[in-house]
Amino acid sequence: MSAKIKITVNGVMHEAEAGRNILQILLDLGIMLPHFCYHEALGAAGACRLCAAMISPGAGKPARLEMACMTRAEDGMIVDITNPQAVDFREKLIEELMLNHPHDCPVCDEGGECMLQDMTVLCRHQHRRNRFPKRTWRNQDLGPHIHHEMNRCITCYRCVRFYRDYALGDDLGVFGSRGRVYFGRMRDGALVSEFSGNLVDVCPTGVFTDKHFRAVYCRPWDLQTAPSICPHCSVGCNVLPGSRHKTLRRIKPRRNHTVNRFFMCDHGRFGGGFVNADNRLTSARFDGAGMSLDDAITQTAERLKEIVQTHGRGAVAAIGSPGASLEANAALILLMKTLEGRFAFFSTGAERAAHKRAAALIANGQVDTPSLPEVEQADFTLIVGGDITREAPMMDLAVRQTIRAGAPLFIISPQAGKLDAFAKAARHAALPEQAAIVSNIAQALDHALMTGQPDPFAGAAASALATAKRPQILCGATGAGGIALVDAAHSLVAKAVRPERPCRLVYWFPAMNSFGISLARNDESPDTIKQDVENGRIKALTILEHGASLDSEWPDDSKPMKSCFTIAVDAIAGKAATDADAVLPCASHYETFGTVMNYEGRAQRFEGLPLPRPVTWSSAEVLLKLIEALGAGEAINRTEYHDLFEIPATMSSLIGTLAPDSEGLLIRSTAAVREVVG
Amino acid sequence: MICGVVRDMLTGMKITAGYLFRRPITIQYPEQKPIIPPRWRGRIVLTSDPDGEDRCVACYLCQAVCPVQCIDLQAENRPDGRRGASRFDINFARCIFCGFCEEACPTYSIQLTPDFEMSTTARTNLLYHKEDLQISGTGKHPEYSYWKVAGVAIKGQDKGEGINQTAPADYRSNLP
Ligand code: SF4
Ligand code: SF4
Ligand code: SF4
Ligand code: SF4
Ligand code: FES
Repeated sequence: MSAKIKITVNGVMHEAEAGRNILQILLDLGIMLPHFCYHEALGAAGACRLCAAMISPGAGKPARLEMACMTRAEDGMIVDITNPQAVDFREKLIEELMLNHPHDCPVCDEGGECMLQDMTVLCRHQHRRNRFPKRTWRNQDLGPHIHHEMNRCITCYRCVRFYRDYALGDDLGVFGSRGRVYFGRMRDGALVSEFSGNLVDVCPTGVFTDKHFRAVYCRPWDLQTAPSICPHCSVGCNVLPGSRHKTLRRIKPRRNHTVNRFFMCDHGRFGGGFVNADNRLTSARFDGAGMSLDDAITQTAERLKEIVQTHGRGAVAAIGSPGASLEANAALILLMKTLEGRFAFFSTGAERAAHKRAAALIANGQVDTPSLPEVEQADFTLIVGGDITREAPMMDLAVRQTIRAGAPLFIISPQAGKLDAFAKAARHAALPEQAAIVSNIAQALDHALMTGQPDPFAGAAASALATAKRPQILCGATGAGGIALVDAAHSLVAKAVRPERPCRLVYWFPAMNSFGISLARNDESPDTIKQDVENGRIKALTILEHGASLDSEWPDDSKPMKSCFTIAVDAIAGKAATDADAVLPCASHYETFGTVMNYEGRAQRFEGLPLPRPVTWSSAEVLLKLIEALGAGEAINRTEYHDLFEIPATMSSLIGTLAPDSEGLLIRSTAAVREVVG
Repeated sequence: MICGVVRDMLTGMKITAGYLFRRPITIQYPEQKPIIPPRWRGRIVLTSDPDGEDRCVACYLCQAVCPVQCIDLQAENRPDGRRGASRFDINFARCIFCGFCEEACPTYSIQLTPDFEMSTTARTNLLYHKEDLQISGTGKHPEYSYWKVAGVAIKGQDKGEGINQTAPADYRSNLP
């Protein structure tokens, strides 16, 4: 909590946090002072001059017309935004900004959520008095995602401040001078940044718009939206998908202050195609015959009972998915409990072991895992275990903020990545060898301040780590690095932690809900399940949302696979569903509700879009119906999350009450950590 | 009091008698057509540009303003750079002929006409699609062409070639 100051706005005294600019304070108070170039994440630039207000340093002192975004609030300041001089200044300024603005709102995709429209109305500019010709610009082809219409620019510089200064991209810039300032690339070509989609949001006008949305355009006021979570990685960005006429039209970031804040990556933003895809499963099937979902569930339940009766315990098994919600995976586990079956989750045995270890370290409070805004605050970062730019893009953007602040970055990755350009040192090594390098750093830490280290990379990383005040290690618990890498990162952190200086540790995972399913009790290694299917010991296999999981190699075409009765509960007609004996279709991620846990173990609730979807039930509901059809319906009400997952009983009940617009719930088992959280 | 009643009756009869000798204003519809003022708010049409292309740019403003929400459309981007409606439906069973849509339309595309003879025996016939709404002329405002002032490049009209625009600026030049 920072200190409070008192400032008077339009004659009313308000309390505000010290050290902020006046515009931000007004916006937080819900007072709309027109502005363009100021953005909470990008800061003030003083470029547009629209946020003019009469500001006096204190009672009795003369007030002057000043830019609110460029003025730091001090105790006792008096701000008047309704002063006629300020109002007149803003009105004239908007008129000037509109001199060259085209007459194309009807065909502009920004219309309806356009800051320029809002500010023009707010400043009461209604008539264009200027009769001179308007300046025009040629547009550029910016690739498959972003449409460019340069005529609409009002030179607020937000785009380059985001693209170059915030996201450290270098292929979008500002050219020209005076009345000829142009925002674009050197020449036509796709924007290379992973975060280019945010230009659509930061640009207050329609210069940058979403090409995919453009192709199926409708006005934003017609979109039906639902607070959701991006399904594409373990960061768990909060998003707002919008739909109309039975189709998903676009995805936008949803503001929150604990995860992705204002932005999201292009992979998440433009990766919603699976909802509208042609390969959605729309009808149920049993033994090759199409039928209603209810009938298919009944028949599947009968067959499962038969198999259990003939082959006894352990003849049925299930494979859960890190791409499905906690609810869906819980229902699957419950189904197996009902049938005394076995279960595992997609992936390989080694990977699962690594995920479980990492998730347990976090949930038990043995490591201090930062949220994304905390990642941005670090003054030393070591990345190990994978390419963060591809596997957790928004964490990459958070690391870029540390780079901007001058913090050293060290990278150990399997191949060259985009962050290498900003690293103090980058080492490329296969994942299984990375644990050894991390241990070298831990060893070097003992003699950190000695020169002449045997391994210069480890030496440099160790000495930077030794002197940092808020160091962090980001470790990919995603692949072949396995449990050795997870442990190596943990011991390095354990060594680096000093009483006066915490050292934070992130484990990022391969999928949206990898953390959640890693807390499951009694799951087996996926390898043993696969083996037992192949050697015929397992007679029935239920596969949950294979379409959303990462294992595309399995189930395969092999003969033993075919002799096993397979049930696919899926939204997408992928490999598993095509070959399955019973196909039970379910709603896709954006059409349903549930809970997922991101890399921090933050349980977040998402809601479904009200699409009149081909199938109305989520995979969790389909599985619960199946349990009911087996006659075990009463088990559903008796079961709590903590019966199936390593979640403290107190938190278990909270999960059910989570609201989608809350901060979520950090799953921690130790009381000490819970206090910090609570 | 009696006198008053008789006087009122006589006054009424005098008015009636007066109308007996005037020309009737009733017309024999449908044999005889009424004269409808040109700004009458009747059957809605979608007009075309002076150059014969769709005027509607699928801006959704008519749909947004319509108080009974009887308009539904979908935008599409055409190969010639124009935007238009791939689908445009008006449900005349719901339309209250308020004319708000015409007022909101930035391109003068949607216009209400003096035609009110739309009665039918089936409600479904009152759902008009784009092809039922389109006419080949400009209707009111015969010279207006939105694309000439929009500032967007379309086939046959590059940037700067519209009305009151300068040729595309060159940001690489330092000349004034
Ligand atoms: S392109 Fe958009 S964000 Fe960039 S300066 Fe112009 S109006 Fe501002
Ligand atoms: S960082 Fe991950 S969760 Fe966030 S938008 Fe990108 S893919 Fe989705
Ligand atoms: S006339 Fe009124 S009710 Fe009819 S379509 Fe137009 S806006 Fe809607
Ligand atoms: S307001 Fe005019 S241009 Fe816009 S969608 Fe309706 S008819 Fe088309
Ligand atoms: S918002 Fe203050 S100058 Fe632009």
